Amino acid sequence: MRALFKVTFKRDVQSTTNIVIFAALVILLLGTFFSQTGQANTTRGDLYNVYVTTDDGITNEVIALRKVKHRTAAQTARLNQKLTEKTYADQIIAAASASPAAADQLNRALLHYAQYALRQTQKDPRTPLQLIAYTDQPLDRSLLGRVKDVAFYRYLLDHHIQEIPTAAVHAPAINYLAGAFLYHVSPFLIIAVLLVGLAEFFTMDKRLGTIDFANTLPISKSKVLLIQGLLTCLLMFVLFLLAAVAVFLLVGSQNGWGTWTYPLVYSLDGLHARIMPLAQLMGMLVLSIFSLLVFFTAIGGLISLFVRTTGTHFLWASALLLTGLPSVLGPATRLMPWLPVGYFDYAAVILHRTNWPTLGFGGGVGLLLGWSLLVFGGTGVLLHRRQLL
Amino acid sequence: MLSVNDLSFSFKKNVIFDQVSFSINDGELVGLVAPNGTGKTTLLKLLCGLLPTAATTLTLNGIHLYQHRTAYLRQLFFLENSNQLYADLTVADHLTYVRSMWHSAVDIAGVVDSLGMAGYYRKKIKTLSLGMKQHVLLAMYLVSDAQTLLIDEPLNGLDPTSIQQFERVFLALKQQGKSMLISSHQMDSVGRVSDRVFFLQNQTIVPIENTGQDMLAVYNTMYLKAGEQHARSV
Ligand SMILES: Nc1ncnc2c1ncn2[C@@H]1O[C@H](COP(=O)(O)OP(=O)(O)OP(=O)(O)O)[C@@H](O)[C@H]1O
Ligand SMILES: [Mg+2]
Repeated sequence: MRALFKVTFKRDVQSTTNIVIFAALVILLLGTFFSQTGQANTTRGDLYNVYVTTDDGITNEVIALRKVKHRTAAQTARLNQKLTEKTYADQIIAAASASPAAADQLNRALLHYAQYALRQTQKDPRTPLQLIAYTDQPLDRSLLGRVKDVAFYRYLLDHHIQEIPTAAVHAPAINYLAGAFLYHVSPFLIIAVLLVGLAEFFTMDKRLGTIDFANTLPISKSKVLLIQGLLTCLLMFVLFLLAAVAVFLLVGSQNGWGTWTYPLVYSLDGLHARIMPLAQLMGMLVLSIFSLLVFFTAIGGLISLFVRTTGTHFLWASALLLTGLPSVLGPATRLMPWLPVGYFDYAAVILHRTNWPTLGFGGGVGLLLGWSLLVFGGTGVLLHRRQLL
Repeated sequence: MLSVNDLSFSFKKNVIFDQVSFSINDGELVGLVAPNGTGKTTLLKLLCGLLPTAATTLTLNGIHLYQHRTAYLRQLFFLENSNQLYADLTVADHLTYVRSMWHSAVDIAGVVDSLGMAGYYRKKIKTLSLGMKQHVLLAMYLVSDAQTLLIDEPLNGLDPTSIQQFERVFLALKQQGKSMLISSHQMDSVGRVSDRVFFLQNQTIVPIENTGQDMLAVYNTMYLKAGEQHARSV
């Protein structure tokens, strides 16, 4: 077993496939970085403009309401509300234009406005509030949206962290990586690249014609496949980590590092907001990729018994991957949480943004690993019967 | 002892073997001879389970292939040709790998010395010449220490010195009690080392005892072209 492990490892590590996979991952993750090279860092200015736009919106409404000669009671109430909004917005603009930038002051002003908006929405969910419309972020008018805002700005204030919006130019490394994984690079693309690597390694022996040697080894063929699978999976995982670290170092050296405690806000139950520091997000991302890799390795091992070329192997594996696309996922059934397909979109699963029922993040990881065991067990039975790889 | 009972095999409609039975004794060296494309390689692959046979066809030293595959495979060594070596690994990698997978106690350094391979022991397979790779293959057979050795055209690409060296190795292995089935197109060499020769003809095996006769002559009468046969009978 040790000798087999050593030989397989030596062959896999020397393969040029590794460089291809590593490069593909790095290029995918660096997409935003490259598109922003040479661009001035306008993040602060852009944010300021967003606040000003909000303020202008309120001002316009105030002017329009004031022009009305005989205001109804409702219009008067609306004018009063807009005037209150305006005091909050003015505070935000004053804090945002302070020089040197005072993060706490701005966060406090934003928190106050968020708290006001929450109170108004709690009183009447249809209150027409002028919300801050961030670039690249859908405007959430729900009560949950207001709850999330309050939680978010309170966290920023408590931790003295300056806000870095999703659309930030030259975002620091930690925020950049989180943004890449959550918003900019589809999980399906990342997994597809890893599937190319799996296809390449699982068909290597058949392609090179060296499979007969493996088949005459005096050892059970399940063990041979298991070792190939373990090594391939581990190699892909290491390549993924290396790619993420490379991107982190490159972006960090240019844009600064950022802070691991920067918050992401999400909700488990649709009522309460929860904060996830980016450090936790990264941990969950890595665990997601790992469990998905294990699952697709098990699938890849099974496929390798039936196909001889890298292309067909990749086609079969990616066909399975595509069934996890939200647009392809069938109507939610009661079986849905128990199927691996619901967990391919790891960004949606981690942020609890799936439109389909799941077992949550931990459940998903467990489920994928469980299915991997099942698939590998099935492959083992099959191999025991046919005895040939 | 390798016993083959009622072996039949075909690639789709191309029948290669039809109900062939034979056995090879311990310490016996059998030559395997036939024109290109007759089925020599196919036979060797069948014997080590790379191609399907009936459940009761193959028995090696009392072990049925289909019942105890791992134990069966441990008794034999077969690697079709040097293209099946791992190009990116060294000779050393291959030999230690085989030694450990076949649980053998053979001294690798001794084998390397005896085959004159010390000069390229640390080199990668992809940097070796055909003859060197043939040496690596033979070294793997020796290091495996398997009881039955199935060898496909080992003399390909060898210089005359190496051919004599290989023949000496085969005779030594016979002395150790190994059963060997060696395919070859070099009839003189077959005549020098084998106890019996299996000629493949009409989907079956024609075994001929080696009594020192001219094997090339036997070959020529066996595989006379239809035209020549006709010419002779006229
Ligand atoms: N994988 C395969 N699929 C279909 N037919 C095959 C396959 N391998 C071999 N054959 C056919 O089986 C026959 C025997 O082939 P084999 O390789 O055993 O010949 P051989 O005696 O070893 O020839 P050579 O002396 O050239 O090595 C040939 O007609 C060949 O076309
Ligand atoms: Mg052949």
